[in-house]
Amino acid sequence: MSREYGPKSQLRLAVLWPPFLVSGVATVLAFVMFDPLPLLANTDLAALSRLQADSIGLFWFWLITTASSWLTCCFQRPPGQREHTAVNA
Amino acid sequence: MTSSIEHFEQALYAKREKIFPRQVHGLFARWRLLGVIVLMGIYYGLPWVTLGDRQAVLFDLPARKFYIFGLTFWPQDFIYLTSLLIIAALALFFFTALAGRLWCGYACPQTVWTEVFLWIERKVEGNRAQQMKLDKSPWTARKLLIRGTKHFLWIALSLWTGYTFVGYFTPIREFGLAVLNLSTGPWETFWLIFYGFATYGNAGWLREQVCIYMCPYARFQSAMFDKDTLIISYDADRGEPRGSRKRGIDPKSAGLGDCIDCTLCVQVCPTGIDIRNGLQYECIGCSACVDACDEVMDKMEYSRGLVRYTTENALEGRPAHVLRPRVLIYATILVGLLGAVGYSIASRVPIGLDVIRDRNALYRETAEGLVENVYTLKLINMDDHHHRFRLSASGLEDLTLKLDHESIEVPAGQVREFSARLQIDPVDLKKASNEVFFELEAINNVALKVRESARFLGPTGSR
Ligand code: SF4
Ligand code: SF4
Repeated sequence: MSREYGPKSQLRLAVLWPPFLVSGVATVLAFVMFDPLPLLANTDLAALSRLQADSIGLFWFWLITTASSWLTCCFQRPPGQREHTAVNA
Repeated sequence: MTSSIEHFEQALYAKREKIFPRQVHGLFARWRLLGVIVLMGIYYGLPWVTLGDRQAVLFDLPARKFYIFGLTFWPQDFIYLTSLLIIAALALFFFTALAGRLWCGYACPQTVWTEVFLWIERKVEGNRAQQMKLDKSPWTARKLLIRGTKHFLWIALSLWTGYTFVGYFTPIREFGLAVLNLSTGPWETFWLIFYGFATYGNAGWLREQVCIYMCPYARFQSAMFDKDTLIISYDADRGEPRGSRKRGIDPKSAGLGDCIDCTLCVQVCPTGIDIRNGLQYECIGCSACVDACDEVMDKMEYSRGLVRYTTENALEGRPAHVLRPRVLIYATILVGLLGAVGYSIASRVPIGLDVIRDRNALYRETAEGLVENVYTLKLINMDDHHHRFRLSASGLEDLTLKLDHESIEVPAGQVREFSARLQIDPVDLKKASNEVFFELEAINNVALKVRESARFLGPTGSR
C-alpha cells in the first residue's frame, strides 16, 4: 500500500491544503460576525438557509484563498527558471 | 540546478514505506493512554450531557446561538471567539517554547485517533510481526476476513465520530432518531460522512503523512524552539559506538557505547525515523522511543535515559534556563488575556442594544417647531428570562424621548425592534451633529443595563 509522491502532488497539496485550513477559520469568523441572511435578502440567493449559505461561503473562501496560494507558487519560482526547465524537460 | 531540485524533491517525497509501529509500554505510553481516554471521553461524551432541558454544549448555527453549559453566546459575543482563538494560539506558542511538540505527542486529534485505530489494528491483526506477515502474504480468505474486520471496525468508529461531530451542531438525540429513520437533512448527512471519512482516511491510512506533509504546525513550530526547549534526543556521547553484545559484558572493555543497536527505538516510531540520527522535523515528540530504549536499558542493567527528554543546552553540558524571556513574555500575555476574558465573561450583561438611525431623513421639524430624529432600536435579550425594560436618552439638555409602545418587553432569547424618536428645541442645539446616548435597563433587574451611543442631527449651527 505504498504511494508515490511526486512534485505534482506536492504542488497540488501546497495550493489546495493551506487555503482550506485558512478558509475554515475565515468562515467561522465571518459567519459568527455577519448573519448571511440579511446580506443575501435582496439577491438571487435569498432562498438559501443559513447552513447552506455558510457552506457555500466556505467554498467561496476556499476558491479565493486557493487563487492566492496558486499565485504564491507561481511567484516562488525565480524568474527565468521557466525557460530553463522547459529546455531541460 | 534542475538535478539538485529533483534530488531534493525525491528525498522529500520518497516512496512511502508502510510503517508498522511496534507497541510500547512505559511511563510515557501510560501518559498518552491517559490523554487518549480523557480526550476521547470528552469528545464522544460531551454532546450527550444535558443541562436543564437542553444539550449542555450545542453550537446552533441556524439560530446563531452557542450554548456552552450555563452560558449562551450570541453573534454579538464575537469578541470571545476571537479571544479564544488568540489564547489557543498563544498557549500553543508557550507550550512549544517550553516543552517542544507536547501537543503533537499527546493531545493532537491526529495522534489520539491514530492511537485508537492502532489499538483496533492490534486487536484484529496481532502484533507488529504478525501485521507485517499478513501484509506480505497473498490474498487468502483468512486475510480477507481479517482485513475486512479491521476496516469494518474502523469505518464503524469513523461514522460514530462523524455522528458525534454533527451532534455538536444539531441536538444529538434528535439527530440520532433521524439517522435511525434515515431522515437526516442533506447537510447533516454530508458533514457526517465527510467527517467520518476524514477520520478513517487520516487515522487509518495517512497517519504520519498528515504530520509530515499536511500539518501547518509541524512546519512553523521550529520557529518557537530554542536551545532550552525540551526535545527528545539520543545521547550520542553515551551511546556511540553502537553495537550488539552479550549481556553482562562491560561495554567499555569491548570498546562500545551503551547503544546495543537493537533498533527497537526505530520500530516503535510512528513516523518511522531513527532518533539516533539527531533531531528531525518528522519527530512528533511522542516519546515512544524513550519508553522503548528505557526498557532495553533496564534489561541490560544500564542506567536509563540513553534516549530521553532533554534540551540542546543540557546535551552540550550547559545550564538549562526554564524561565527565559520568550517563555515569560508568552506566559504574561497568556495570563493577562485569560484574566481579561474571564472577567469579562463573569461581568457580561446578557442584553444588547443596537441603534440604527433612520437613513431616509437627516432630521425633521415637528409642528411644534422641535427638531426630531428617528431611530430603530434592536433589543436583544440573551438571558434565559423574559424582561421588561425602561429606556431613556441623554447627552443633550432637554432631550425628549418618544416611543410608540407603552412598555418594552422582550421574551427570553429573543430580539425585538422598536422605533424611537428624539426631540429637542433647536435653541438647545449647539452643533449640527451631536452625540446622544440610549440607556436600556431591565425593570426587574437593575444589573441588566446597557448604554449605546448614537448621533443626533439638526440644522447646521445654532440659530
Ligand atoms: S523519534 Fe521517538 S519521539 Fe520522535 S516520533 Fe519517533 S518515536 Fe516518537
Ligand atoms: S532502543 Fe536504545 S539501545 Fe536500542 S537501538 Fe535504540 S537507542 Fe540503541
